[in-house]
Amino acid sequence: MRLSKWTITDNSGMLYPLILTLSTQSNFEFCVTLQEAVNPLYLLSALEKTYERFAFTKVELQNNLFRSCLVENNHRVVIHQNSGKLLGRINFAKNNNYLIEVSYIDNEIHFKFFHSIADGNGAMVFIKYLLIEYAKLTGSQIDNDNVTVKNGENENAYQRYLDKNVEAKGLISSAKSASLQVKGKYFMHDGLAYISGEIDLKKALEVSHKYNCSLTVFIGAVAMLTVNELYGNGKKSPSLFIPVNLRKFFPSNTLLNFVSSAKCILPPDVKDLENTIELLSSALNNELKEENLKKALYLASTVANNPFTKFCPFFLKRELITFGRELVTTGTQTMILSNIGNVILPDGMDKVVKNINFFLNCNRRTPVNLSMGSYNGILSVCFTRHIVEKKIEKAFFEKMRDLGLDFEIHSNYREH
Amino acid sequence: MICKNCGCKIKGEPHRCPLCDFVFSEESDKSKKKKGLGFYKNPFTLIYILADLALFLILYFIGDKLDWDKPVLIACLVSLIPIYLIIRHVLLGMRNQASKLTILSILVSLFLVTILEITGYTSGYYYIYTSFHASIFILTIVVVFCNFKVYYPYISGFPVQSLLSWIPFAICIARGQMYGYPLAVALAENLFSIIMICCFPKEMLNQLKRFFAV
Repeated sequence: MRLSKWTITDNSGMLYPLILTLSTQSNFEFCVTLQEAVNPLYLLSALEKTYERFAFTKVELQNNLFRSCLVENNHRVVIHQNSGKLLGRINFAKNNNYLIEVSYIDNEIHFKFFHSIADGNGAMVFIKYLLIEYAKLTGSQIDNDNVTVKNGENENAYQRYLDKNVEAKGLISSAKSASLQVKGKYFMHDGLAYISGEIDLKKALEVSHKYNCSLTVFIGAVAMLTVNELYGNGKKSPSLFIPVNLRKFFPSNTLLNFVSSAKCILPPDVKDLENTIELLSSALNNELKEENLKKALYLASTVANNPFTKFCPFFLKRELITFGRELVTTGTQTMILSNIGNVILPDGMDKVVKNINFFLNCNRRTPVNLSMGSYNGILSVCFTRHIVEKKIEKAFFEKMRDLGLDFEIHSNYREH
Repeated sequence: MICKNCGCKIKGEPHRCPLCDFVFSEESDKSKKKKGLGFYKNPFTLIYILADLALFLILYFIGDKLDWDKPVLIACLVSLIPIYLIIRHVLLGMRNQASKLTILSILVSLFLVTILEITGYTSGYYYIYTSFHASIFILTIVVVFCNFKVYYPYISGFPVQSLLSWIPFAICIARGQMYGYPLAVALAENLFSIIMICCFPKEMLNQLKRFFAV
């Protein structure tokens, strides 16, 4: 699939270049742990093949007069040695302007994606293909049938399903309502800390089914309860922001951004787990109703379709949006919980890939976030944080242990 | 392994528990401690020294031949950037565009008025050099007394840098020019360095070691 000379980023993706500053980048990161040490030559070769296959990802970001666009990148593909800095900024100049930074260290491969290019789902397809190519180079016999070229892999699905007749009144104000905030001392330098827990997936599912809810709701409820116990003042409502993969509701093959978000607000006096699960479940179900998803899709496309933002010069738009963001000092959600689901790789890949971890970015408004995903029967629940304090993680994992779920913990030991 | 303190299972063989910070092995924990900002990694110090060097060379070799009207303004504006950034963070603690603009405009006006007043746009190329030192001096006072613990790695080299402030004074003496202003700046900077060392001897010593660390 070839790219036209320049492609406009999707409705949601075009927002990220607007909020790109010297200190802020909208990135997310995957860490794949291999069974053996990474071979950089194989990794580079696999990356080149993956870029060839997903040509729309072999791009660089350029800002023209009115909007940012993706331009075919003909520079040499590069990989780096990992600096150990979790979710630090992508140095575009060093990365030959590619929007995906691939780095390695020992038996780990780190993939850092700039959000303009893909969401977690699209990124996972990219990573799967690369891992299969890598495995082939190491001599493993792997079938790669499920990643054949599909139509509309780089379509702007937001535009396709956008319903302009949606009642938009009050949408922005409800999305922007203030929530309970996690507070702490921010890190001085670039990069985040993480504490991740691994558990047997079957056991986790058993416990969540006992509470009659999905795994996402169960983990989200425990996290919200923990935050409310630690930071709640009985006045502000804790709210959980869950990214929703819209492909499940609006069929599309797109690998670009096609996510919305469900903002689940809980009452400030929420105390026990059963009650939290019930409230969170009903809030999530309400957010996942078709009419609400359409509203969320409309909201995600606001910047792209508003006549003022369409024809306003890019630099001015950027200044106005940055100005607006800086005026809002309080976060609109307490925490973000993103679940990439169960990652399934072809048979034989378990001999190459040991584990897959997903890390969510944090900022001053939401300094602690939670991501989860499972691979090969292991569920990883990973807290990323931008603050020194780690009392949420400590209380969360203690609570999990009380519920009969024993995690194996690992961390990057970032302290300042 | 299992943490003896909190009982959580930990992957691998770490030196301490990621949740409760219980230290398993004292030696490995010490070896993992942060090394600190070396000279070459400290952008603030590096920029300062390079700017100092560049200004010194310009003054020494072509100082007499230049029309100083525009360079004076440029140098003053450039020296405003770090002050502006740090003051905004330290004093206001706000990430607010309005506060940025207000502080920036106040500083620009103040500096321009001061420079116009002192130099009259014509004489004293050493004013650029000393203004630069003076601005760093103001910045350091703000930094140290407002939020020492956060910013001190960036000012670790101040006592060393302050010694450089004797250079413009020496140039002025050698050329028979007015030396009151550079002398005042040099004395103030060095006095402040001594106060810093007296108030925070441990931290300053550690930082000075880091300053020369490679």
